[in-house]
Amino acid sequence: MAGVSFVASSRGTFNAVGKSVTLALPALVTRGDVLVALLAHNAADAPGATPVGWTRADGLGEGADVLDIYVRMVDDNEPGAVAFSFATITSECQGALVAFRGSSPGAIREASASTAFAATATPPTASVTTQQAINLVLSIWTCSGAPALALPAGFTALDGFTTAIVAPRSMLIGIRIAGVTGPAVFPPAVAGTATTGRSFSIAVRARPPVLPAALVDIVPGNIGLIAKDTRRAR
Amino acid sequence: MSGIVLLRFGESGKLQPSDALGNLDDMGTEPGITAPARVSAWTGFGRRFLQASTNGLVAPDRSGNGTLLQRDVTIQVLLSLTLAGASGAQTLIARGLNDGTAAERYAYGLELQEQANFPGFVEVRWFWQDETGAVKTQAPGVFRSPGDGVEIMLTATRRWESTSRVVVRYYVADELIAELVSPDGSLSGGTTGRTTIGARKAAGAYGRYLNGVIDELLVTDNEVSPEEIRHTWKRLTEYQPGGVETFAALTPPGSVWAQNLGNDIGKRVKIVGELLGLAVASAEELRALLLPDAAPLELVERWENICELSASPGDSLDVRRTRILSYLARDEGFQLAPLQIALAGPMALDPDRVQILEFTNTITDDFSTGIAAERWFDGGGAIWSTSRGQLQALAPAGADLRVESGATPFLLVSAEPGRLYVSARLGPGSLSTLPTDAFYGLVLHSRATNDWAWFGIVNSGGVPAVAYRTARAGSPGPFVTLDLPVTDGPSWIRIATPQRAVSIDDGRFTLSYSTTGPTTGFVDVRGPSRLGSDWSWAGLAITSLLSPVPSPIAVTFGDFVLHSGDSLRSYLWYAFREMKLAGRPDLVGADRLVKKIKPAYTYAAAISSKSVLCDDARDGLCDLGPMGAL
Repeated sequence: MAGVSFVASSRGTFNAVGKSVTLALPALVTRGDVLVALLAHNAADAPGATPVGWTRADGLGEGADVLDIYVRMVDDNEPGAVAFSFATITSECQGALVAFRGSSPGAIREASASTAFAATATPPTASVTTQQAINLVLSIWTCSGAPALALPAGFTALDGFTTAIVAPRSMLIGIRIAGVTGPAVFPPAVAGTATTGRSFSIAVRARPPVLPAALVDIVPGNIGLIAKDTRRAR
Repeated sequence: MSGIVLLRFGESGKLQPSDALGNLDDMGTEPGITAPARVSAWTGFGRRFLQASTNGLVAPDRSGNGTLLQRDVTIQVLLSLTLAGASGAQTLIARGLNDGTAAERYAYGLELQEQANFPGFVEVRWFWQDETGAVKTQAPGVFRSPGDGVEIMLTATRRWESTSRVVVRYYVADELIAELVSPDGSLSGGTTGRTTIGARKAAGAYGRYLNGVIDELLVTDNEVSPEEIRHTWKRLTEYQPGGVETFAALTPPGSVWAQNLGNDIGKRVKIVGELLGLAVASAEELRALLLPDAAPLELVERWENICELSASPGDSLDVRRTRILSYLARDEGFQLAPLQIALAGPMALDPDRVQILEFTNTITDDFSTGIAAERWFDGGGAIWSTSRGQLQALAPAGADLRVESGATPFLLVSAEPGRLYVSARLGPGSLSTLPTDAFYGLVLHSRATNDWAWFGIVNSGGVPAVAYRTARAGSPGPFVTLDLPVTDGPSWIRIATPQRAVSIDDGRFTLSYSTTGPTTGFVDVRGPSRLGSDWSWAGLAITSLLSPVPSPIAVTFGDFVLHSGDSLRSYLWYAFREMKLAGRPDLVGADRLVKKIKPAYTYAAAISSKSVLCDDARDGLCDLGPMGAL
């Protein structure tokens, strides 16, 4: 398998009193898988300390729509859940944990991008630049309210939900094979009612493109390719 | 596999390159392309294609359509690129000239291009034309350029599976860099198409010139496996150099003539050493590719013959290998864990997700998880539902539930002729709402003779009573009430034939009734001397002598037990693959494996539905019949 593959995902549990989002380890995850934690929150709610063993890979968006991305590799003693804390809670926080196989925490995030949208029933999908067609594109839409959200064609749904512990907010997560190289442009999502928020796209990869081994010989004259005819004798 | 085109480019500079396999005519030029120069390369000589010089080669087929490949194909090439000064897409090979005619459509082609957003990285991608003539350029594999003039081995494979699914793979050296699935399965290709190297022609004009050196280029008519590519790479970089080193090491100690492979003697040393390495590689190839986990196509066919397995036309090499491995990995005897392991491959599941369904000749259902649609046959006319672990039957006021009207308000499960034992719980709380002349209880049915037998509780003129009723060929008799006390608490009823090991199905039944419990307190009641035989269905029913029903019928059932003493269910088992789970199962292979594994006295199959699904009229439209997979 040349590329990275999706394994499983789980939805976070927001605790406004405890000022944290807890992410349970999804089923089917095994040692060596890479966990990508997605934490959506308001910029006013500053994240607390990064949990031990996790690395903050990215911080996207602004204002009411910030997405923090943390990564970690599953080990033998992986806890069943991890809690991401916040210094303050003024708005709804949401999260998800996505597990991938065939990559490493240092390589998995190739690029990311975000796009804001306002009062639209067709929230755009953030365009992200991807170097390899085998990369996966993980796209997230976060928005205010509780509109019914549907993924663009070509995406596979990982999760979609609304929580309203502080104030209603919705989150939609989908994934697809990039299938292209360079700036990847995808159709918009669909919202049941006009909504305001931001979409994020992350190019997820197994590794950077390989450097092929070379055929080196200072003296030319090697036996090269051989064509075999293995058809059955008549 | 069979080679189709092999361009070694070893000819003198004064000669046109030719196909070593004879499928292409000698390569030449025409307006728009000029001949590439012969240059030194890893195997000896290659051809340098320069964009600035519009180098390219073209040749028609020598054999009749010998290079026309519209399904599986592999292109393997030894080449070096010169990215400096190059621009745009660079063609390695194109089969077809794309002049607008159907005869010259691209059947296959391979091109390279430096990434615009990532300098120093190269994309390799297939292209072909579909039946409408549209050029379908595939998503690429990407690798980092090793530098201008550095020779590498590049392989691209195409596996056609259907008109909407093509699998393409790209390798550099022996490393898979990308595997992608394309929906562009409508493959075209010209019957008189010509093949170009180093450039591509479209609408009468050449373009997309290559900027690099092609040392050798091979086209085969199959999808070369990763293991074959790995072996080729090891042959080029390990076995053959190893042969040269071995032979050179045999020279007398202190001699230097064999150390310089560039002098005349050294060249001979190298030739012999390469041949020595080639022989070693052949032996290693046998070792590496003989067993079915890595066997190439032609050996997989032999393994299939040995194992008496057959392949379907669209089966990929991976599917066929897995099928053989699963067959060889099976354990003798009927053990669940080895069965699951053996079927995990063709079912594309973890072993613990392979469901092995086994049966006894007793069916029990307490309805705690609802009404299993695969098991129960709803005759209509009543609404059957479950609530708090009880089965409820509801018929609204005004309904016609009479047998004489053809109404069949029942819920049946298939039984088997022979010894029979069927029981169920009635109520509680049903009598208080049971309208006059309404009935609820057990029912037996023969669909062949249209015979019926009911046994349960009937509200006979306002007096609830235990009663039975029979119908011959659809003509029902009256309810026969029995002198037993009836309460509105739970009651249990059963119908049973003699359960001796040897029994004659002569229609003798014993009807029993209990107000104590499902297995205690039963009182045998006076029933008919003959109730009937060959009952193929048993279950629960409501009915009424009145039409319309004056008030709603709302009754409850539970604790259903059906025991068919002569049933063959014990000899059935199924390997069930839940199709909602991810993966691309090979159910044909799984079924063949099951048929191979199963003990002779059992019937078994790999299934993806727990119900019989035969929508085709040829199969009798028998969707309604449960297959006993519960």
